[in-house]
Amino acid sequence: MRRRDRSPIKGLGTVGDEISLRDQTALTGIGCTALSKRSGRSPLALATEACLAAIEDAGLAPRDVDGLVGFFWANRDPPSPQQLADALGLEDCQLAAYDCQGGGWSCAGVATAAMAVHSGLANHVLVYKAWNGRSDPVLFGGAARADYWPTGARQWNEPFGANHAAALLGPYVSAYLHRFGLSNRDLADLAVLQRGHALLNRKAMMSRPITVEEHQASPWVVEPFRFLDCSLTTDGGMAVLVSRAVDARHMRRSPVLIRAASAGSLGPPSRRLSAELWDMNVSRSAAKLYAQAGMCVDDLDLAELYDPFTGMCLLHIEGYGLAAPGQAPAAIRNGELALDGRVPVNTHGGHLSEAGMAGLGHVFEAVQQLRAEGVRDDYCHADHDHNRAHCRQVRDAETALVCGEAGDSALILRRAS
Amino acid sequence: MSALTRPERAPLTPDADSRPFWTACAEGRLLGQRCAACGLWRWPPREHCARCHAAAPEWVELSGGGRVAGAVVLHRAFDPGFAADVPLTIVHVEMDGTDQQMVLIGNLVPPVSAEQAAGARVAIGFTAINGDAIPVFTITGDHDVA
Repeated sequence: MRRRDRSPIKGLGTVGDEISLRDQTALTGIGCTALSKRSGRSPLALATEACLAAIEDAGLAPRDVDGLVGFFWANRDPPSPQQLADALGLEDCQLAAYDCQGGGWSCAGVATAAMAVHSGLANHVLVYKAWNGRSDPVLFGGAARADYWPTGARQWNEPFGANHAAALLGPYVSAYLHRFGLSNRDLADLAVLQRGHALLNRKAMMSRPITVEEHQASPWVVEPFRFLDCSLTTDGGMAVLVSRAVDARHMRRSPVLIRAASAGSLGPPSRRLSAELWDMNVSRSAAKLYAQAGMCVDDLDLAELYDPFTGMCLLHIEGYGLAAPGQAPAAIRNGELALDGRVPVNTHGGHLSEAGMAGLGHVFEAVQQLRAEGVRDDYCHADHDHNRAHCRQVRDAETALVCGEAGDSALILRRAS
Repeated sequence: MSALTRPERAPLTPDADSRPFWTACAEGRLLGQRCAACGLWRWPPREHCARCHAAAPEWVELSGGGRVAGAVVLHRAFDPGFAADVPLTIVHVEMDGTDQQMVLIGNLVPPVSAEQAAGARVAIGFTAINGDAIPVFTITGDHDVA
């Protein structure tokens, strides 16, 4: 049973009080297509469907939307905001942002939308991701060699075969495992945990339970990652809608407030001391995010943390203080990050078991968990009863942390009281 | 220096900041870079010091010894240019003499597991790929202590 005494919201000085964005904006709509291995549809069609679903969920009409924020990495697979504005028939689009930082930018996209509506630049902004990530994947090598490298970076990685996420991020996980005397076995528990959560998610691609033994028997892909340590690749689209909190109170769904947001990327940790090779941007941004929210880690009821690989998610878990350094695997084994644990993590199954949606699925899930009606795509037939045979709703969920790759962007979200 | 033919691999892409490094590799020498004004080591190479902001890069020849900070082993090559080379070990090596600031990426030969590679002492060599000389590391000693 849950769990601890709820801490009062702690103010950490005056820093947070000076952040004018706090609780001023809200996530007011969410939309999702089927998540599949082969959509047979264009990314434009997927994005359009996801955006229309989010608009409908919010109780708005397409003409009410006046801002679009998309993001990608490597392939420019989602439609551009201009293409999408055309497809949605938006006649007055005041914000068209399209960022290339991929999963590091999932929460930054929401922050961008929040800044736009808070400033009055726009009223309702959609953040979207759509791609055929499974059936039309990024190609490495040959004539189709993707050029996604920041200026000058290509020469230090590509000649050695380090040209995809597993090879680029794996050394940081390797350094972490070495530092704390851990092994690939210690990555298994998170994979098993998240698969269990996906079994309670009707839109998840994975519907079969796994065991630690199966994890350990799955083949290496890129050490230190086995097959069951890796993100799914997915065809699909998702969108979330951001509005001003004052408007959200009159909209269809109970609003989920954006309590705090960070959107600053330090990029890859190539300039850090090698003794801290696994140290991600999260270690620098977490304290500031909590201060901005006027909260601490004890105030979190759940956390949806970017998980391209099990080991990267462990770094995020520890970076945000959900477990002590080197202790995330033990915390998972102790049940502390399960649905009825201290801080449930990746309650939808995450990239590992729901779908690979570049972090937007994590935002989508946090919104569902924090709404008055709760999660709508588990297997509950009536009200949530927290029976883990069919219900994945976290008890008394009021506050959630969401982060993108490496903590390069993050959100603290809160149920409107 | 061993010569391999990998026609599918992308060529090196040196720029104004890095060209001395790659030229030295072709000569079998390893260069690191520090700030001539304040002495701070940095990597990758660039004009300006991130601490004192002087535009005074200074190239220094290094011993080529180092320690593996982190590693991966590719069991599948997503880039066809590496298909003949799996399992392929990629290491991030903290180079000796750089105050732990220079972490150079290269391949480790012969390949070992990521667990075995992490913490290992290594030495640099250079391999020619399609006429480009690139760093390649070999293990020279025991692991450090975690």
